[in-house]
Amino acid sequence: MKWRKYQLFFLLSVAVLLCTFCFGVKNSLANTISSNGVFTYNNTSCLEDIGIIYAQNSCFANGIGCLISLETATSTVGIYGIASPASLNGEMYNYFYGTPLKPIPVFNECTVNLYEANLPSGLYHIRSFSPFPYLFDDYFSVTNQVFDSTPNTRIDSFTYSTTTNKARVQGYINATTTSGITERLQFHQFSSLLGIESFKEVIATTTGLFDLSFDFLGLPTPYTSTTTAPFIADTTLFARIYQYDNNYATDPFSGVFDSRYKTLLVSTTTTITQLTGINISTSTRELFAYPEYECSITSLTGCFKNALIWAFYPTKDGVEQYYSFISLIENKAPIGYFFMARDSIQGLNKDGTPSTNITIPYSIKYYIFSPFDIGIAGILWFFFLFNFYKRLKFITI
Amino acid sequence: MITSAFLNIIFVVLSFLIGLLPNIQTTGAFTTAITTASGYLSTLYSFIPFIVSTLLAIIVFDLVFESGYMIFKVVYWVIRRFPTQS
Repeated sequence: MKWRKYQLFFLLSVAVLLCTFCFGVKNSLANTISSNGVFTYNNTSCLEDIGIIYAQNSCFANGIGCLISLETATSTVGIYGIASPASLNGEMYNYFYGTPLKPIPVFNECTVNLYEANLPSGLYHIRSFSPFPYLFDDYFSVTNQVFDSTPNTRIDSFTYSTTTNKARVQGYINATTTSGITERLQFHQFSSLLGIESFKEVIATTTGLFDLSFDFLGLPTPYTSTTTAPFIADTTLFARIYQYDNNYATDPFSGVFDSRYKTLLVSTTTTITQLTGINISTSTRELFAYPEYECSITSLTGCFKNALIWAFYPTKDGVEQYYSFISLIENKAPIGYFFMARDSIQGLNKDGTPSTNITIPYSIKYYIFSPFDIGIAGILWFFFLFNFYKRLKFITI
Repeated sequence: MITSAFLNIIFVVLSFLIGLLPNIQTTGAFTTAITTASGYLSTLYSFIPFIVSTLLAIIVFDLVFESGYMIFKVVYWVIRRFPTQS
């Protein structure tokens, strides 16, 4: 009996030492998050070294799926993910407990994109689903800095000043090292009166954040203040980032432009509207102004035109009555209910806020709900076509 | 002026007649009902997207088809009211 007690004590000691050793080894493989917000296990064979994947590898083989939870060291954040057994390189399926967060894309079995996951700051814990979580668990920290340095080409801010006539563009651009491929920021302004103006192009030479200013022309204003012609004075500023690929470009023989040459990555616009002068209109209805031609002894044609216009041209007030009448109809029964139903049904969409969150494990969805969904939908389409054919037989023209 | 006077007469008469109708009840209940339905729809769509899409497509198609057919019949009936020489 005494020997059995020592034997038990010995085995327990060995187990504790083994666990401590493994935990220490695990911590020595501490992984960090790169500046782009992508958390990658720092070894190429994560299936062997990262317990969470290794422990669940058998799940993949069995087609069950692998459960991954992310939680802080002290409390559960409430994000759980199931990596698809069929798509190790695909997006990890997630369902949420508590506060919904964005899904966590898993690019491969070793990498988690924390930027797109939009996790709050804190220390996180990847917990394995194995019986010995400590051997395989890992911790990583998330800081706000991670979320400020995504490598995606983007425009963060696009502002302008009408006093200095300068536009300021801030964002992130990539200077690719691939031969013939460049990212270019293009700026220009466009107005219906003058077309494209102030075109500038900046080719990215370094990867990183940029802060650039561009000059633009002020809004055109009428030369005189006595014109009766209505006009619209506005101009739109454009900031776009393209990726150019000189490997395609324009065919030198046929002159045909290859669309692969120029790819629009990011685009943003802002419109400057500053109405000055007189008789400036901002809508089509306002443009229904009363035209008037010069009438004098040397231009009698204008007098006849003015007479005909006075007789037959509807005034702005006359046209305005039409819109007032439509507004009246929209507020009267029974036609008003049709407009109300139309406006409400336009708000009906599948992407709204769900009334309840139904969480289904990926494996159940993959093997049960998806085939059921496709099968029933197919049957419904078949019945629809069958009944529609029967309906067509009773159509009389 | 002639056109304006003509438009004025028409819209005054029509507005008077339409004005006799009762106002619609804008309690927002219908909008709330649609929003609630949208919530249920999103819930169902999250795990049976094909069935939901199919049902909506069939309902919309039926409504459009039957409405178009009805309008055609009405217009056809009105046209037949006009006397012809034959």
